[in-house]
Parts: sequence; structure tokens; C-alpha cells
Amino acid sequence: MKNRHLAPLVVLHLVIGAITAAVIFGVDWWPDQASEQAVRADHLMWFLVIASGVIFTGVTAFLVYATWRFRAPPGDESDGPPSHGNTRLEIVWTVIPVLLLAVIGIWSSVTTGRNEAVASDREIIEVHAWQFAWEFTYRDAGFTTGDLVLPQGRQVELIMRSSDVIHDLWVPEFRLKEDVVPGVTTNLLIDPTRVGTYPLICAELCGAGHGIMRSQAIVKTQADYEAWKRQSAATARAAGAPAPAPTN
Amino acid sequence: MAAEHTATIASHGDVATPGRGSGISRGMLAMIIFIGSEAMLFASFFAAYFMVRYNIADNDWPPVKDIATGERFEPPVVLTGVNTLFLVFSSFTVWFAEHRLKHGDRKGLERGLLVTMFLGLTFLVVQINEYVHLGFTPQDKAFGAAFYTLTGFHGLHVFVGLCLLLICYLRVKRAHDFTPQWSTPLNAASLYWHFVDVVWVFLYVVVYLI
Amino acid sequence: MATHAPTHAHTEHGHGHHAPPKPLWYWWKRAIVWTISGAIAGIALVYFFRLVFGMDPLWQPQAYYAAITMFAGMGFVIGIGCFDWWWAYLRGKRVDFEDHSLHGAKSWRDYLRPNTDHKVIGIQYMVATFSFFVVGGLLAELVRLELAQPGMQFADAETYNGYFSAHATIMIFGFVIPSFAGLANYVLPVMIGAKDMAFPRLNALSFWLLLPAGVMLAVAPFVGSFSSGWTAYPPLSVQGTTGQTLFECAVQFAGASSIATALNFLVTIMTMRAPGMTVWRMPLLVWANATTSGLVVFGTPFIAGSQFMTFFDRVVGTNFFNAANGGDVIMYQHVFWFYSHPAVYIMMLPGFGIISEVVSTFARKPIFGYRAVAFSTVAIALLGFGVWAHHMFVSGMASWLRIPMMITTIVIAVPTGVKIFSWLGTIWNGKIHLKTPMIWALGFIFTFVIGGLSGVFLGTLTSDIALTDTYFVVAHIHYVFFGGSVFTIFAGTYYWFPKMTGKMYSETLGKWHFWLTFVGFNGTFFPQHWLGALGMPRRVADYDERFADMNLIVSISSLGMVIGTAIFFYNMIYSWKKGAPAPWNPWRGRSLEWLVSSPPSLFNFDAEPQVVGGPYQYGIPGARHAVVYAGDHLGGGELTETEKRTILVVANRTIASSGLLDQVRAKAAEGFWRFTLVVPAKGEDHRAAERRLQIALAVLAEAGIDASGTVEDLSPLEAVKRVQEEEPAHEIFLATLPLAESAWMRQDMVDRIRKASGLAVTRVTVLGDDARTAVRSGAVRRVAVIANDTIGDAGLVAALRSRADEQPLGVVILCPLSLDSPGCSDDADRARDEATVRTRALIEQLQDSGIQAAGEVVDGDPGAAAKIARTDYGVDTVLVASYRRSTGWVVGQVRAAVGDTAVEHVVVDTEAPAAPSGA
Repeated sequence: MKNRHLAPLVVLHLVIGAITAAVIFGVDWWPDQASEQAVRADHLMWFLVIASGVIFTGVTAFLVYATWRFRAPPGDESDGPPSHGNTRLEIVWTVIPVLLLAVIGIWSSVTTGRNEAVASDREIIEVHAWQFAWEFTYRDAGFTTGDLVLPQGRQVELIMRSSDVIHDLWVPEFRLKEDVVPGVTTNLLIDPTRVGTYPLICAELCGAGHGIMRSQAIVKTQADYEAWKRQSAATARAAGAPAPAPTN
Repeated sequence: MAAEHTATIASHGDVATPGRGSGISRGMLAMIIFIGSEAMLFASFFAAYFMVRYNIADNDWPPVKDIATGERFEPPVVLTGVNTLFLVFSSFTVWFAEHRLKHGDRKGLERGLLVTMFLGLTFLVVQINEYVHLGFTPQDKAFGAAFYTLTGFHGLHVFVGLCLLLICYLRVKRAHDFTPQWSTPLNAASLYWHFVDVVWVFLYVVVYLI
Repeated sequence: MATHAPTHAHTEHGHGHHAPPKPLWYWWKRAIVWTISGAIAGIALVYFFRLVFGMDPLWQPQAYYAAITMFAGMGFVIGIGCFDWWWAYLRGKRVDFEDHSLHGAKSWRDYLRPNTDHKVIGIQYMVATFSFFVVGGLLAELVRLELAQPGMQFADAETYNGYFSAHATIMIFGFVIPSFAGLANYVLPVMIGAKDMAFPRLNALSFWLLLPAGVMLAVAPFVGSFSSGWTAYPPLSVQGTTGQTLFECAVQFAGASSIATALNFLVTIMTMRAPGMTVWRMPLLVWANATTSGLVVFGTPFIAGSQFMTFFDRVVGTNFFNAANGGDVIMYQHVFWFYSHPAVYIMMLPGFGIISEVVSTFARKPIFGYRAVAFSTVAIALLGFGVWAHHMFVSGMASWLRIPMMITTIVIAVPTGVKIFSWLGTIWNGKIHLKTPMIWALGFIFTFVIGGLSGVFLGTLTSDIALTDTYFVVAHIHYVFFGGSVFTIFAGTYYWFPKMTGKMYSETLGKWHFWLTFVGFNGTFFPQHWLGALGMPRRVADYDERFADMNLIVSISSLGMVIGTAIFFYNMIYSWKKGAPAPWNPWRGRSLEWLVSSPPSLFNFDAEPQVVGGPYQYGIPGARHAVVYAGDHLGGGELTETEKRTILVVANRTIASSGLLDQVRAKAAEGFWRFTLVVPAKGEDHRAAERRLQIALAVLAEAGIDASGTVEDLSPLEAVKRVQEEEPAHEIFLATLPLAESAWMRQDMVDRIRKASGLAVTRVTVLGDDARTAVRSGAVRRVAVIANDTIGDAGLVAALRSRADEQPLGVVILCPLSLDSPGCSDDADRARDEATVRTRALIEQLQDSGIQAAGEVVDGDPGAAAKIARTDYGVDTVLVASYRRSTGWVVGQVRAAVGDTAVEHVVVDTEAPAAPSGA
């Protein structure tokens, strides 16, 4: 049955595969990787992109080929052959997706475990979100700032609280986000790897100002970070500001 | 002629109408499905109750009403318990009404329906009276919200059940409806009443007792 | 075969009197009065309640708005008449359970009041939901216009938030969910062999509950929209005002409508399938709707519960979601998504059912793996209740819940994949007909696969953390909602349009609709995958400059969908009014809805169908899905799509007229008939009758109509009796000249034939001119005869007769006078008159010979006559008739005049029949 279909199908797979590959590799998918979590997530996501491309190519090739090849000639009112199924084929196309999805599920679970492994020497920063601004408190140093500054190569845990509605802290370059929920303290673990300034975006609809509720995540080298912390703490003390109170 | 055809083929026995094997009437099937839907509505409010109680309050329940004295909210267990008995008994009286109808006793049917409605009304009146004397409002913490919503929706369903029973009663008296062979609206209303009763028992145990 | 006199009545079940139908304004006047009364009652109720309980402030607006909305909505539904029958019932009045006074539609007015006929309700749903589609689509275009460029274009952020919130809500609750209900409402009862749904009055109520919901959502933008998304998360939604109240009330009405419909479907499918339709013989649309109805019945109450709670928090001041007082913000999301995830399957499974029907019919093959597709439908529904928290991976919920929910979510991909592969397996090796429904189905497979693949990204925890709440999600949801659900709605609408309206839509416009929409859709939504992955969040009116180009492409592409949709509406409306009449089974489908007329009669089936096999048994000779019996008025017996029944056409002089042949063509379009033509030519020229018959048969053959015929030397009555003995017919067409000219009518033929045959007799009146004029058809050769001296010669008549015996002819006689001094001289007039007399005589002779002829005298030479033949009469062939061969110059002149039209020279020999001299 398949012999005369094989050659055109292969050709179609190659052609459509080439177009698909051009599309998925020709456009940038992800921003820069600025965290360990981003590196691990990107591995998995590239796998998903490529697997999707393969599956899409296969389905489209069959669809296009079948539509062209099995088109009824004009005036042909006869029926097709009365085949009701093919159990072996049905088993194959059930088992293969199960296997593929099992791989994805296990991969993601392992990645989650790694991405959320808590380091004992992590830096803890408190986040306060409200309509429509962000505030970051470095409690041990005793100051508050509007930008999130992070040390490269050292784990940071964000302890996040909201005083009004649900917000979400998202840095695309970290591939991380987590809701900030009133009444609940949520956490986000980040392992920054790359020095730079990245957008920090609110990713949960929080009202009219949702689109402009932005800040920055600035990753500095550890030395710069410590220096910055000392300086900010000193400025805060000099200004006589009392240590910021907890927000919950 | 078409009718003859139908009869001939049907008599061959291999084309019995599917889905009618159990003989359940459409009206009862509809009521069963409807009750399933209403059960899910209560499930959503019970879900809210459980999450507020166990997730947020960590089973520190009922919550504290007055921080100074440490007094807690207290639903009236005893009086509501008696009320519960009224409602449970009313399930028996409605069953009794159906039973008497099967024996052709229309007077028994009427009496059973009247007693059931009276008991249901009593339940509602007592509940409303309790609302007035509870000592807490729906605005009192998440506890008040969950409590009033659960009991309030239940009360609404009791009211609807009373209306269904009243409709049956009017049909019995004015239209001489229902026979020992056919009483689907009555059976459906009675099933709804049992459902309302079962929800109440569950609610009483979960909210008042535990 | 029935021999009693046929009746044309539908089987009326109603006992008791039927009151005269009330005028339309009666229902609407009541509706308006009750709506206003409801609003007032709502205000009064809240006022007294707040007064009695000493609530402060007395005039808290949201409580009043809510009461007004709910009571006015219920008032409308009561006033329009949905509860009338039940009100009589519950007061103990005598009621007729089979009251059909509100059943069926004879005019457009019947669609604007409650109607218990599922077919009317189905169309009411489709018109209402497509209207909501337009509103939702306009809102989407407002979103895209604002997003075409960075910066704020014309709306402020709060208004913008209202746009997308209303867009989603209207599309979900006003379009996708109810339009599947509408299509199924129309088709499903017929498909299972039922006369209607289990609860027709409840069915009507379901529809009318939807209208107030739509009105509430449409009004919301004008009273301070709801702007926390269709997901309405608290605490943001608790900050909302009137618009949010309207949203909450609309959801309750739409939810009640949806649950009532689902309940109806479940009971109908469970108890009203035709004898022999076991679950394994149900069409997959029935499987899909049964499963979906289960999802609706058990899932929808959760969204009702969630909206009650936000309403209470906002209007009553409860603390469900107020963290400061022990409320649980995330609890809302659990309750909401417990419905809203199954909701996406509610919005997809019926579409899968439609695709199964369309793909099987247009590939002429059974569904590949029918049982697997049925099981996968149920599996998706059941599993669908266990995946809701994949919408909450980053919500801050209990983190242990994430991995189990990921597992259940990606498991659902398996049965979904099974379906896609099964449809591909159905198409493989089939006989594919690319009609509009099939094109939409194939397009759906393409786009839904993309949507499903992006779903895997979102179901996988790691990638979801990166991609959720971004434009990647917007891309995914539109690939599955538009490329999924909406494509299937279009496929189903085109597929069943002929059945529902009795008209055929335009295939060309259908294809334009598809391609414009398909290209526009992919251009709009594919780039959004990249936008989200690169860092554009969702639900924002403004974005980074670096996303400007892609957003502009997206916005421009969306116009393709707008234009496509406009073409769709034009096609639907124009075709409904003026489309070609649709046969019973234009697609040669096998399920039961194709075995009844388009549209079906009042109660669908005149007798109960018997199901004897599966619904997709293409390619198996003799396989039957069901045996449907024709009603008594159709002569009883069995009705099948492969054995056509005969209509007897009785005509003599009128047999080749356009009036009769058009009527036959119209009847043939119904699809169930073949024709036997009988020409009763008692005592007349048989050869003439034969020639006329051949014209008619040739015209019908060219139109693809199965017809045969004979000339009988009998009177019409005798001919009918004779033909009936050999080949029973079920109806007779008797074509005659008008009353004054028709001998048959004077002999009262219609009634006599009716009595003798016991069949319905349709009289077709054909005007004399029509009978004598050649039908314009490719089967009839149009011939011009240029002759002068030979006119009146029997040889010419013989020559034309022999040509007519070879092929049906329509003849034009042109007599060129070639006067020396043309004009108005007496000589000229005399010549003209004499030629006219001869020409007329020839025409009469030809007509009597069974050749349809016309003609005129031409002032001019043969060349001029030839030109007239070509331009005025559009003939295929010109014959030059003359006595001697040496008139070659005449032939040459004619040839020069007519260019490439064929010219033949007929030499008329008085002794022998003339032979053509050849080209």
C-alpha cells in the first residue's frame, strides 16, 4: 500500500520540514539567558519546539498529500474503501505520544527539582507589590529600593507580598514568574548568571495600571552587588529612614 | 401502513428501543440530572468552606470573634439539631404520601403532602429566626461568608422544594392529577426534597458539628 | 405501495382546540411590561430588605443594579411567554401535554417569539450567537487597533481592559458555547430519529435565557465596563463596579441556559433514540454532545458559585476573598477553573463531533477507529475534570499540586492526538470532495494541531512558568478557540445550511471566506507565540518598542478575518433568500438527518425510522444505517437515497416546453425522483410526438436527470393506466395548454386521472407560445434555415424532419427577400406578404411535425439574413436551402457573413429527400 505513497510523502516531509525549520529557527524565540533556571528551561523548551516542529511537519505532510492524492475525480460519486481502522496503527499512535509525553513530564519534574533546590546561603529579598508599583526591601541591610538588584552567581529568594490585588513578578530573561497574592506569601528562587539589566514586568492583570507596572532586575557581579548594598544601606541610615516595616 | 411496518419489525424483537431498558421516566431522569447539577453548586460552596477553614485558618475554627475575650463564633448546634430532625422527618412524610398514593389512598397523599410542607416551613421559619439571633453577620470574617452562603443557599433550595410540593398539592386537589400508575412530577418533587434533606444533614455535620 | 388517496397533512397530535395564534406584538408587549415590572420589583425588594434589616447605606447602588438586572431579566423571560404553560399547570388547570400551539414556523414572525420546535430554536440560536460573534469580533478589532502601534492610540487603559474582558466573555458565553447548542439543537434530534427534544418547552426557555445575558454583556461597556478579564479574579474583580455586576448576572443567565440545554440533550439522547440505534450506532456528533452535556451539567455550577462569591464580596461585603479577614484569594481560582477548564472541552468536543461527520461524508469513508474516537471523547471529558490547576501553576497555590496536575494535563494530549490521527486515517485513501465544510475541516486539523502543540508547552510546568500570562497563552487559546472551535462552527454551519434553510450556499464565497480567514488568522496569531516568549505580557494596552513591528503585522492580518467574516454573512443571508433549492441529501450523507426533506417537516419523520447499522458505512454495497418510511401522503413504503421513485409526466404538445421542463428540473433537485414521460398521441402524428419527446429527453439528460419516455397511441387516461401497470409511480405531472385551448382540460382529465390512479396529480399549465418555443439547452441544436424559393416545398420539410430525427432541433426560418427596390412600394409589400404567408405555413408544418420553429421574413440578401441568424437568434448552424447546386455564391455569401458558425447547403430535390452538400 505504501510504496507509491512513500516517495511523495518523503518529499513533502522534506519540503514542509524545511519551511518549518526556517520558521522556527529563523525567528528568535527566547531572550537572553540570565539565570540557571533559564538555561535548564531553554533546554526543555527547545526540545518542545523541535518536537512540535516534527509533529507539525508530519501531520501537515500527510494532510496535504492525502488531500491532493485522494481527491475524487470530477463526476466520481463512488465511495472509498470501507476500512474501519487498524488496531496496530492505533496502538502505535497512542503509545508513541505517551512515551514522548512521559519524557517531557519526567524532564520537567527533574528540572523543577533542580530549579527549586534551595541553597542555604541564599540572599533573601522582600518584594512588595501594589497597584501599580514594585518595592524591594533588603531587610538585613535595612533599606528599600524600586529596582531589584541581584548578585551574579548567588541564589536569591524573593519573599513576595501584595497589599491589594494579585500581581505577578516576571523577568523573561530568568524564565521565571510567580504571582504576588494578598494574604499569602509567595516565593521565587532565582540563580542569576549574567550581569545586565532586564525588564521586571507585572504579569497578572491588576487594573488600569497593569501595563505600566514595571521595574528592572539588575544583576551585578558579587563585588559590585555588595558595594551597592553597603552604599544603599548607608544612604538609608543617613536619611534617617526607619527600617521598613513588614508589609503583611 | 408505516405503522404496520413498525409493528412488524418491532415484534421481531431485535430492535427494542435502546435506552429504555431501565424504564426510568424522562421526568425522573431530568430530575436526577438536575439534582446532580445542584449538588455541584453546593460542592463549590463546600469547597470554599473547606479551603477557608483548612487552608487559611489552619482549622483554627470557628474563628475568634472578639480578640479581647477570645470568644469564638458559635453556630447554635442544639436548636439547629432539633430543626434537622424536623427536616429528616419530613422526608419520611413525603415518602409516606407517595406510598399512600400507590395504594390509591388520595386522602393519605394529601395529608402526607401537607405535613411535609408544614415541617419544611417550620424548618425555614426556625432557620430565619436563628439568622436573626446568631450573633454574627455574613460580613464577619470568611467564616460568616461561608456559613451564610451555605445555609442561605440551602434555605433557598428548601423554599424551592416547598414550591414543588405545593405545585404537586395543587395538582392533586384541583386537577385530580396522579394515579397509582403514574405520578412522575410527585416522584420528582419528592426526590428533590430528599436531596435537600441529605445536603442539610451533610451541612449540619460539617459546619455545625465538626 | 399505497393505493388510497394521499393526504398531505402532518400527523397532528394535538387533541383539544388550538386557539388562533397570537400576533407578534402581543408577546413583545408582554415582555416589555414584565421586564419593567421586574426592574421595579427588584428595586422594591432590595429597598424593603435593606430598610427592615437596617442596612446602611439604603441606596447602595450595586445591590440595586444587581436586583434590577436579575429581576428584569427574569421578567423578560416570563413576559415573552416561556412559563405560560407551566403556570397553568402549577395552578392545577387542565393542560394539554401535547400542546403544539407554539410549534413550528411559517413566517419570520414565528422566530421572534417562544417556539417549541427544536428546528426553530436551533435557528434562533444560530442567528443570536452569530450576532454576538459580530459584537465580540468588533471588540477584538478595537483591541487590535489599539495594539497596532506602541503607545496609547485612542483608549485609556481601563477602557482597553474592558474591551478584551468583554470580547472574551461574549465570545465564550454568547457565541461558542451556545452556537454548538444551536447546531446540535437543530440536527441532533433528527439525527437520532426523534420528533423533537425531550423537553421542548424547556428548550425554548434555554434560548430566551440567553438573550438577557447577551444584552447585559452588551450594555456593560456603557455603564462602566467590567475590566478584570473574563476570569474576573478577586480582589481585582471585587474592586469592579456596575459592569462587573452585569458580568456576574450575565454568567448566571448564560449558565442556566446552558445547563437546561445540556439536561435536555442528555435525556433526549438517553431515551429518544430510534429503535436499533445502540450507542455504537450513534453518529459521533451524538457522542460528542452527550459528553459535553455531562460536562456542562456538572461543571457550570462551579462558575456560578464563583460569581456568587465575588458578587457577595463586592455588594454584600463578605470576606470570601478578603485576606485581612480570613478569606482565601486563591480559592476563587480553584473554584473558577474547576468549571473553566472543562469549559474549554465544552467548547471543543461538539466541534470534534462536527468534524467527524464532515470528514466522513466528504471522504466517503467510515470514520477510522470509530470506537477509539468515541472512547477518547469520553476520556477527554472525564480527565478534563482533573487538570484545572494547570491554569494556576504560578498562582502561589500548594506547590505539591503542580506536578500531579502537569501529569494529568499532558495525559489529555493522548486522546486528543488519537482523534487527529483518526481523522487523518479517515481521509487517507478516501474519495475527497473539497466542498466548503470539508475545507474548513481540513483547515481545522492544521490549526488545531498547532494549538494542541502550544498546549503542551503550557501544560509542562517548566515551560509554563516562563510562558504563562504572556502572549504565548493568547496565541494558544486562539489557535484552539478560533482555529479549533470557530472553524468547526463554520464547518457545521455550511454543512447543515442546506438542511436548515432548504437552500444551497455559494461555494465560491465559502472558499473566499475560508482562505481570507485562514491566512488572516495565522498571520494574526502565529506571531503571538514569539511575542509572548520574547517578553510581551498579556492584557496590556501598551508594549515595548521592540514588539512594534510584530504587533503591526498581527493587527493588519486580523483584517483578513474581518473581511472573511463579512463575506460569510453575505453568503448566508443572500443564499438563504435566493440560493438554489437544496435537495434532501446534497452531500449524500448517511445519517438520519439526510433522509428527510430540507428543511424537515414539522415533526421530522412521518413514521419512526429503524436503525439497522452504523452511520458511516460508506463503501459497503447495500449497507444501511436506517430504514425510513415515507409518510402516507408520500405513498407509504420505504424511502431510500439510492432507489429513486418515479414521477409520471403526461404531456403531448407541451412536452418540450420550458414551463414543463423547468418544473421537472425543480422537482428533480429534491433528489429522490426519476421521471417517466408519456406522450398520449391517440390519433395524432406519432413521429411528431416522438420528435417532441426526444427534445424533452435530451434536455433532461443534459441536466443529469434520470428520465425515460414513450409515445403511446392512447388517451391520457389510458396511457396512465397502462404505465401504472408496468411501473408504479408515486405522483403525476399533467401538462396542458391553457384551459381555453386544452382538449384534455375540457375532458376533465385531471380529476379523472386522479381518481383512476389514486395518485396526486399536479397540473402544469403551459402557454401555447411556450410550447412552440425551443428550450435553450445544450441538448437542442439551434438551426437557422435561409431559404426563399424552397419554402413551401415538401422536400425542405422532409429534409428538416430527417435532421430532427437525428438530433433535437430548434429551427428558425429566415426568408431573405432580396428586393431590387426595397422599401414601401406596392410590389415590395406584395412580395413581403406572400413570403410571410409561405414562411408561416412552413413554420406551422414544422410545429405539426414536432419541430419547434419560429421565423421571419428578412428585407435583405442571404448574407443579411445570416447575420440576423447569428446575432439575433444565436444559432449553432446555418442551413442554406436551395434548388440547385450552382447557388454556391449564395453559400459563399452566407459563410462570409457568419464567420465561424457552421454553414451547410441543403439541396432540395422535390423528388427525393435532399442531401446536404457538405461543408
